[in-house]
Amino acid sequence: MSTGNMYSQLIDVLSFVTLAITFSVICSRRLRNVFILLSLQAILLSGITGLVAFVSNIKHIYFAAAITLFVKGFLVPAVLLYTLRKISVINRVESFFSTRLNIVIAIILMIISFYVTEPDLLSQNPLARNSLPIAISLVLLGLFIMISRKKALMQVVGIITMENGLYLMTVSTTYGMPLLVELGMFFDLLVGVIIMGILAYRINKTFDTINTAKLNNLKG
Amino acid sequence: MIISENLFYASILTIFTGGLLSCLLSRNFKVSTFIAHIASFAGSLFMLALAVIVLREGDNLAISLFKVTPWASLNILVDSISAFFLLVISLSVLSVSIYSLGYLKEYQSKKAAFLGAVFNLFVLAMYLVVTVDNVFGFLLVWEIMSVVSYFLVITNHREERVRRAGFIYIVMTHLGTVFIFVLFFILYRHTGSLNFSDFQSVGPNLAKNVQNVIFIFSLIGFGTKAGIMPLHIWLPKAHPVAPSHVSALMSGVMIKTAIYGLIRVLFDFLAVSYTWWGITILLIGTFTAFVGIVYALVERDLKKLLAYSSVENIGIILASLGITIILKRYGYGEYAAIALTAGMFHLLNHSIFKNLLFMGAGAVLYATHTKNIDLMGGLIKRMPWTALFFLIGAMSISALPPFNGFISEWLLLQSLLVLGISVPLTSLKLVAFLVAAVLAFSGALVAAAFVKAFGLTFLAVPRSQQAAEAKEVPASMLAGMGISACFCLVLGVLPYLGFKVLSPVTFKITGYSMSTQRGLTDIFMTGARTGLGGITPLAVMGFLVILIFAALILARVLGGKTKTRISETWTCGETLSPEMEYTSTGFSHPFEVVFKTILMPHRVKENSFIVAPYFGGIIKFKSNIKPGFETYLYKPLMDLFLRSSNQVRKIQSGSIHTYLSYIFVTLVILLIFAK
Amino acid sequence: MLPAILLIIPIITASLFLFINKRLHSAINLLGSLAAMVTGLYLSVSVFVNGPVSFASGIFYIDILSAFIIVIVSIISFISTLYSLNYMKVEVMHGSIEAGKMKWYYFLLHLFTSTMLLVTIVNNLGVMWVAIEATTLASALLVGFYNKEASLEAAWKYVIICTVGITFALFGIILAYYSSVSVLGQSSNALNWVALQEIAGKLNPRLIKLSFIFILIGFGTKAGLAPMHTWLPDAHSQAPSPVSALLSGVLLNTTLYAILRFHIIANKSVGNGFSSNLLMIFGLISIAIAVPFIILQYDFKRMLAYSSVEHIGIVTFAVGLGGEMGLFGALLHLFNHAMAKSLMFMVAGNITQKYKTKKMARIKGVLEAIPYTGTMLMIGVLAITGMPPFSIFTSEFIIANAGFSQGKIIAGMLFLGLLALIFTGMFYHAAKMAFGEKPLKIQSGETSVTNLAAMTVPLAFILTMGLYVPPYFREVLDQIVLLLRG
Repeated sequence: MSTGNMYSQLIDVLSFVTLAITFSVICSRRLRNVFILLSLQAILLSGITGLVAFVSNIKHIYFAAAITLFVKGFLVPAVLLYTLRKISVINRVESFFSTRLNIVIAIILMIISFYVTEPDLLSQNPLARNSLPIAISLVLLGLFIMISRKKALMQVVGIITMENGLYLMTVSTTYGMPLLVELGMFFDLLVGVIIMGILAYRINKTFDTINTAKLNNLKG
Repeated sequence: MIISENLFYASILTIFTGGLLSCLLSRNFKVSTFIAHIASFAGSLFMLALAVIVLREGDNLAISLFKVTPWASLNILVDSISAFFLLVISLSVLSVSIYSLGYLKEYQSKKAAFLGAVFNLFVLAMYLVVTVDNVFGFLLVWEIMSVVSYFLVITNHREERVRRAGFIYIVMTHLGTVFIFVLFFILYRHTGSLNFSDFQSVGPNLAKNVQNVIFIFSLIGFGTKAGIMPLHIWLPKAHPVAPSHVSALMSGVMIKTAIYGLIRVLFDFLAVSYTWWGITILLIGTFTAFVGIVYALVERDLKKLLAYSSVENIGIILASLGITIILKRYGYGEYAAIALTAGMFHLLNHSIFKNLLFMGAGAVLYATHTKNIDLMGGLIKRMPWTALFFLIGAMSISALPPFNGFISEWLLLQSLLVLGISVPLTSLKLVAFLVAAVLAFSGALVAAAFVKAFGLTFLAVPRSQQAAEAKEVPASMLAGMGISACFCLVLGVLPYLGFKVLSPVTFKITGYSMSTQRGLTDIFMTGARTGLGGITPLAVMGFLVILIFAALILARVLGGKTKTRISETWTCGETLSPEMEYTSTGFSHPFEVVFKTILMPHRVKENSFIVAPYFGGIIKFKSNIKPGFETYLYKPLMDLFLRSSNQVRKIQSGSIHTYLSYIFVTLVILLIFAK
Repeated sequence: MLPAILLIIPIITASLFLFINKRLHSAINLLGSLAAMVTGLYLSVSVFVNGPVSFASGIFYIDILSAFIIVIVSIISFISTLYSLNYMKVEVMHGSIEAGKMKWYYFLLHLFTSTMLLVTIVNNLGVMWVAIEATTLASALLVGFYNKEASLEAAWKYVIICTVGITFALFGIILAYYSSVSVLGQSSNALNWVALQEIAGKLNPRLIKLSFIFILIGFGTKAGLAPMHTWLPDAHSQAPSPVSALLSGVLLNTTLYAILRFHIIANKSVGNGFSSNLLMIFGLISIAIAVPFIILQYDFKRMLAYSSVEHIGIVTFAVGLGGEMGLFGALLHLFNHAMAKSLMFMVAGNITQKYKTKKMARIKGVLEAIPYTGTMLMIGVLAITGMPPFSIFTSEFIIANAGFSQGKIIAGMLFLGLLALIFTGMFYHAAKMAFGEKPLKIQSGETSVTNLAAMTVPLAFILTMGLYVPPYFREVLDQIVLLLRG
């Protein structure tokens, strides 16, 4: 068994762990826990990135790993936790569905994403064997979180999950994007989360809730 | 060629500058309306000259005006068909312009100036519609004509009724235009060109289905503008609410541009390849004519009555086009020429007398400020000239000699008989005679309608304060009506002039024409070559005069000497009051009863008695006509559309979660679709 | 250097607002936007004359297509800032906005302009993505600027839905990058669309297909294609009117520009009209979905927003049709719509400030109350519904013509029919507002001169471009069509 194969298996395993984290996000009932899980996922992603950097020996990927750790692992969860504290809502995730149904749908989505991605599509890259379906899973699960959760902050979580999925894919299939793009993406994510935080704060002030199910006055 | 080109430019520029100046000088509305209408008058003189030159010389005028993009340009081509329509329009505008000089005093200062400018734009658009030679140009000026006339219609936009009428007008005409768009694009698809000249060469060779589709689309598209039933609903709403000089042009001329379009597409592009087109047009035309006049008959609003009568006349013109197609398909070119002449001559006549009638109605409105016939009466004493001109218009439209309407309706009935005799198919023969009967009957109804319109408006005693205080209208308005009245008489006595003008048109379309060059006697006696299509208006007139004299003499001989004694009208001993007069409602009642399947009249009579049932108190009477097409065709469609729209609106539910799931579903569908 | 200057001017202007005195706001606003417009136009003209400009080792690349979009962005941005001057003053006067927040308004407005400019001048698809996301972020706070319930709701939906959409677009870009890397190897220009366009024939068609789907959905969300358009009526109606003009007139176009760029690549790689068909379908759906919402609308600005959905649909449909005529029509329409729609939003601004409501049922007699605005309302609504002799008639004519000439009879008929229905709806509402007697409590009186000045610019284009497309303008469009057809 060659070392390359071993690394790729390691990356596979880690990728599945990121997926599992998103699963636990779906299952968890407290906002705080969700944010911590997000942070954990980012740290894991940073680890995968580091591993890819080590295997491919491309310097700028280390850099990407570092920013991931910093921005997604610390800054973003910090902003979210800060907002949560500011608006002091009840620390509960509210969903339209029961936990059981949530899990069933999540599993179905995962099956779909493994089904639609043909295994030979990304065959040129040994590192990317399972990352495409996992990435699509993360994207779909992220969207599912946004659709099924009522709290505004959970929608931010959904977006970050989607973004994590994409990031996982870029790292494992193309060794990341060009540095400029990657920097821009991190910057956008950070500013985006801050702006969403501001809006969530204002919404809470005006509506007395961040339950987005109540934001349905604009119709027709 | 150079002369006609210059005439064209001169006309366009004069009218346009007149409109522009009128806008700029809007502070002084007298000057500005004067400029606008003198400009349209002068411009129309130029156009008239151009039309006459083209019709006489047979020289087509081609101008390339401008090009917006490679696919969008505006070219002009005046051939005999265009020239004829130019003639029709310019004759109308001439009299209406003069009339407007006085009529616009009705409107307050600023509005009048604006109205003058838009009027000029409208005239300009109509001239361009019948001369443009390519698709982009045609659709451009066609839509401009619609929009501009919409603004004219809603001049009195403070009234809800006017706004509503205007809206229905522009929506109907716009929806109709969609069909015109499509038919032109289909032609484009098959010819690869946007020029009318290429359609002419390729059109007749198109596949059967394509031709049929084009036929149907042109019938719907142009039919909406022309006002064929059941696409006519905008017409009786929009024409009455517009200022009268505009109604005159809209009813007299604008709806004819649709006939122009129909002739262009069916005869010029497609060279009428199928008999069923003719039968369809004939039947639709007859239906339109009959139902149109029935509605006109029971109408109490003078201008609405005129509008419905326009629907009827469009029906007659269409019927003649249908006959032309059938005869042409069966190879009777010469007879087809008679039918076409009948139709086109009627088109010309109708534009003249309908102008006259609308101007007359406008004059009455100007003097009494009401359109309700039930509130008029006795105006002949107060407005003798208006009454005279209106009477001439009414006689023309009722096809009474010696006025022009008689000639064209006579020819039309003749061509129907020709159709019945010459076509080999028995069923077609039957159709021809039936149609002839229906049209002849409609003619009688027209006479009834105008007996009512004239009689109740101008005769007897005034039925309201306004009517009693009416005064004769200004000289310019009378002059405008006078011009039209003269045309009615001249064309009625010398129809040869009309046939002469029409001969290049019928020749172009059917290969034959009715006019001959056989000298003076012919001009006064027949005016037509074939025995079947002959008409001798002077002889008819002479015969009528003799008949009248004969009747008078006979009465004198048989009845002996009579004595004239002037005294009051006998009213069973009561004092004479306007309530005793025959009202429009009363006049229409028999017709409402006869045609109750069409009209669906609704009458409510409420009696309140002082001592029942012998001493009557107040009797309230309400009667209205159920608008059949609107109730049973348009309203259900509209309701269905709005209801389903309301259902679709539910997708914008306001929930962000739903919105996200739309994206999600779209993505999944596309992924599956692409796999 | 010029592209960088173009980018930096609005950023500098924006940051100035954070420091300067309130009295200088108007001057800085006007100067900054004027400078940006002049630079933008100058840059565009030089590209039209001298050909593409590349800058900063190929990160920035301006060809004739980007220059065309820059023209639109810079003109409308200038108009919008000019219009903001008085409009926002009145809003402050009415108490809708606190005076102290005005600096943030101008800051965000100019920042927003710079992000839109960035979208058009970058070469790298990835950076383009970053810039498009940046436009969302910069405008989100503008949408929610009134800080009322409705505007916050709109802003939230806007930012969330567009971010989700754009994440999908990123997915598509990554797939494209992957397929490009496998041809070009790891290189910094593997995402440059110039490079991608060159090697489009060698890219893995299956991947590009997948990637186009994601990009179409993603950027389509931002561009307002149905059924991803749901955020658009909320955001465009709740934003302050000058911002609505920018959102509808320019922002949608810049995103459409991104789709257009990728369409070229996908078309070359996948072939078979795959991307064209998708564009046509989405275009028609967008036009169709606007119909019921326009006909049964209650809010003036929402109606305009739905009309934007419709017009973006028209352009998309035309791009999908392709061919010389379709593309020419699409580009012309892009320009015409930008002008007409920004005019309409300014008209809406004037009217809502006069009547203090956006509900159309309460607006009557505009022609009496504010005659110039009323006239522009009528012209604008006729223009935007494609009536001659205004500009959109010509472009819609060309597009319909293109459809029929390619034998897409049914699509063409649908197109024309839907447009007619939309005309019915919009005209109904506009006529109800414009005509009739004005309510007694509304006093007649026109809005300020600066507002009218801002409105005359698009008006001039609307009035002339229907009958006269200047020859150099036509030539530019022809060249872009050549570029698009490859």
